[in-house]
Formats: sequence, C-alpha cells, structure tokens
Amino acid sequence: MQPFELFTKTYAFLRKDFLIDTSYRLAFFAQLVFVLMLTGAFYFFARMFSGISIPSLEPYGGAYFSFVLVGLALSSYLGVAIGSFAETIRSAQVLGTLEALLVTPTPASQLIVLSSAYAFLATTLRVVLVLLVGVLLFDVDFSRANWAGALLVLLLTIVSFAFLGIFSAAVVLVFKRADPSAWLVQGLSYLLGGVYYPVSVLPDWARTVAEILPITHSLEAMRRLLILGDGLSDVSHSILALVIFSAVAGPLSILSFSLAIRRVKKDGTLSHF
Amino acid sequence: MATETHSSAPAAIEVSDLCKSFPVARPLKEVARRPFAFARREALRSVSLSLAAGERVGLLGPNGAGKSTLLRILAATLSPDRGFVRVLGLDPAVEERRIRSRLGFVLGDERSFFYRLTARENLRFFAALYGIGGRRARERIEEIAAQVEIRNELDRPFRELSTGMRQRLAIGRAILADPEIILADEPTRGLDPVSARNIRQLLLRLCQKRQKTILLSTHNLDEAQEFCNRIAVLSRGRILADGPAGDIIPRAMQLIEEKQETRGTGPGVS
Repeated sequence: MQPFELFTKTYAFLRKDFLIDTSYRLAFFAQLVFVLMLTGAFYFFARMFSGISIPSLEPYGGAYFSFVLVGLALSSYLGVAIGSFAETIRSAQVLGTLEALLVTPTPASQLIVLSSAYAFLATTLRVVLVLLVGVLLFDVDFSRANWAGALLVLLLTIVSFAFLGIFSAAVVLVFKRADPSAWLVQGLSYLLGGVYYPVSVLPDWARTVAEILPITHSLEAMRRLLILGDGLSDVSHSILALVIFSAVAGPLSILSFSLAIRRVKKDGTLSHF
Repeated sequence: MATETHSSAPAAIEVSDLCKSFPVARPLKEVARRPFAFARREALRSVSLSLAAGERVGLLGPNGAGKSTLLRILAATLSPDRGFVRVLGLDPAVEERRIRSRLGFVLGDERSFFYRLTARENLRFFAALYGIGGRRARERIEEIAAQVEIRNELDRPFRELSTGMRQRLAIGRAILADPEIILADEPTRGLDPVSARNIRQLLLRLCQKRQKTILLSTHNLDEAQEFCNRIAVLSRGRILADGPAGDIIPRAMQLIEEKQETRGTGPGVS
C-alpha cells in the first residue's frame, strides 16, 4: 500500500471519529471535566501522606501524588487498548457498519487498527491534560524528566497494550459480547501492575505474576524517566521486557485475529452480535 | 428440476458447484444430550451461475433462499464450503482486496452508514477506504451525488435522510471506485413502490451508461422483470432455472411453489 493511501485512511478514521465524538458535545466535555476531578481526587488523597516518609515510594522520589499521577496516565492506555479494538468490532456489529467496512478493499486488520487510532489519540490528549493539571495546579515536579526516553517507553507501551487489544478483538469477533480474557488482564494489571501502589508492597508470588504484565514494566520505566529523570540505560530491564512481550504477543495476537476472521467468514457470523 | 444455464461472453462472475452451510445453534438441553452432534443448515447446494460482462442478472427467490449468502461469497466476506468461484477471473479466497477494489456492494441494510455524519462525510470516509482521498474524493463525491441525485441532500445528517435517499446514498457508495461489477442485495427493501421504481431506474441508468455487470437479489417479480435481462431463480439453496427474463418470469412462481411444496411450506415471492 502507498504511504499516501495509509495517510488518507488514517486521516479519514480520525476525522470520522472526531466528528462523531464532538457531535455528542456534553459527553465530550464531561470526559474532560471527569479527568480534572479524578486528578483532584488523587491529589487530596495523596495529601493524607504528606510529610510522612513511605519506604516503598522512596525509589520514585517519595511523593505519592506524582507516583499515582503517572500510574493513572499510563493505565488509561491499557483501558483504551484492551477496550477500543474489541469495542470497535462490537459497535460496528451492533450499528450495522461492519459489513459495509469489510466489503471495501481495506484489509480487516487495518480497519481494526485504524478504528482505534482516534481512541489512542484522545487518550494521549487526556494524558497530557492530566500531567499538565498535575504540574500547573498541584505542583508536581517533572523538571528533571527525560521526555525523549518517556516517549520511547510510551510507544513501546502502546504497542504492547495494542497487541492485547487485538487479541481481545479476535475473541469478541468470534464469541461476541465482552471478552473475559480482557477483564482478566485488566483486573490483574490494576491489582498487581503498580498503578496505585508500588509492586514492592506485594507478596513474592504476586510480584512474580506482576513481572509478566507489560504495565508493570511500563510504569516502572515511566516513573523513573519522568519523576527521577533517569537515563534509558537505567530502565533497560523494563524496556527489554516490553520488547520481549511485544515480540511474543504481536505475532500471537495477529494470528488469532486472522484465525477469528477466517472462522467468522466460514460460519457467516461476521455481522452477528 | 433440471437447471438451465446461459453463457456467451467471457464471465465477469463464474460460480460452479458452490455449497455453503451454516452451523445451527442448538438449545442447551439438546447440547447436553448430544454434545458432539453439530447441526448445519444448508444455504447453497451445488449452485452454478455465470455472468458475462455487462449483464444485468436478477437472483430471484423467497426469503432464506440463499441469495444474500451467494452475494457475500462473491464479495469475499463469506467462505464457501466447496465449489469454484471466480470474480473477474480472480479467486475471492486469495485475492479479496483486488476483487473488492473492482466490485461495489449495495447493502440493503440502511444501518450501514454513520448516523451522526452527513451524507457527504459518509461518502468521504468510505472513499478513503477505497484509497480515494483529497481533491479526487471531493470531485468524485460531487460527480456521484449528481448521478444518484442526492446533491441537495449531501450536507444533511444521514439520520435525517428518507429511506429512499439512504438507498441512493448506498448506491453512491457502491460506485465510489467506479467498479466493474455491482452486487445489490435487495436494494429496494422497505421502500414504497414509487421510491423503489426510482431506485431501479437509477440502477438501470448507471448500468446502461457505464456498462456495469449487476447481480441483483430480489424477491419481487416486478423488480426482476423491470430491471434484469436475465433471471436465475433460487430456492432453498438451489438454482431452479436460469434464462432470459421473458422466459423465466411467467413460470418463476410455479417453480418456487413446486419447490416449497416438495419441502414443506415456506416464504414465497411477492
């Protein structure tokens, strides 16, 4: 495919989803207000611990608010990655647009990825908003942040989360409705991945499980890069883990998606819901 | 019943011995009793059909005859169980992208558009999926709007369009990439008689002017007679007759009714 064609398609999806999203004006602005409220809620929650030294937070600068702010920001990518691919399939099935999309020459895999582009872009804007609110209103200190390193980890995070999402989309395509594996991964990630508290407070067995979750490594690297200003070499273990996860989950998720497409084309359940 | 077939010019669509069945959902009690018995419903049974370039062929049959199944196999959104399928000489199983870029599908389902977008925005989005963008897309949309007579409706939200206008838009979408073949799945479903006739005349004009091959599925005898120069009668997954519209129409009802009687009562043609 020509790069111009890919650009045209990406732009078309972003434009379409933006127009639909902003056509529900109240919901669009309510989301932004909710982000501000959530950030504020965690700020006041963190004030309970101000002046108290918490050993498990020491490796991340000691302040709970900056710790949880990064957790909130990055975990929203997990939600959107796991949810958006499957949601794309599900809503296209329910709305009746799936078949119209699939009779075009654009491959199904490309349709799924491009359908989620807006969700990722909107999440990125929300994450930027969360971090800005943290810095401007609640005095979070990112003055030492390694932004270039953070961008690299963010890209790796999005890629590894996206593979989980594509797998979930494959399950939804075949079994319809929600995907139990998505709930499991999301539940485990919030429970053990270190979103709200450091992984070091978990028992040994739980820490072992946390090691196989990509969010654990994303958060570890991102906090060190943004809060402490560490270099990439300091977070090489986390980066390597994310690369390995993507290398394993990538082909598996793409394979499961193509098997799912083959199955629904055989069973004739492509547009069923 | 013997099947009559017609073929002359090189085939735009060629199907032979095509079979398709679907799994049937069984009640839980039945699954518990016989867990490994997989019931299947036959949708197409050894269907053979050939369309020459520029032909307008009607696929006439009652609901559940297998018309939509056949169209979906040709559009490569459904895989056959067995049989030979070629669209413009290409195999849908391996060259689906190439086929879809040369084929337009008019879906009978009016939900296949984005309700919150205008007609123009919908066409612009689908144009991009055919690799048509920028100025070319804008020009093509104006051209198509004139052809399907929706110029005054282009900037209205899809949800505000009448069913007839929505169907015109569906035809406009199908011809975005100027396809050689148009598959139309009951394009006048849910339309009043006047709107239905207008849609047929529109399709006819497009077809005659641009020399398109059209395979139109319908359960309406008048529609088949008015639009098609050849008709294939499909019932319970089998082609019962295939020939010039003038020969087939007078006995289409009888053929289908005979078939229904031999297999029990079922839906008929109107």
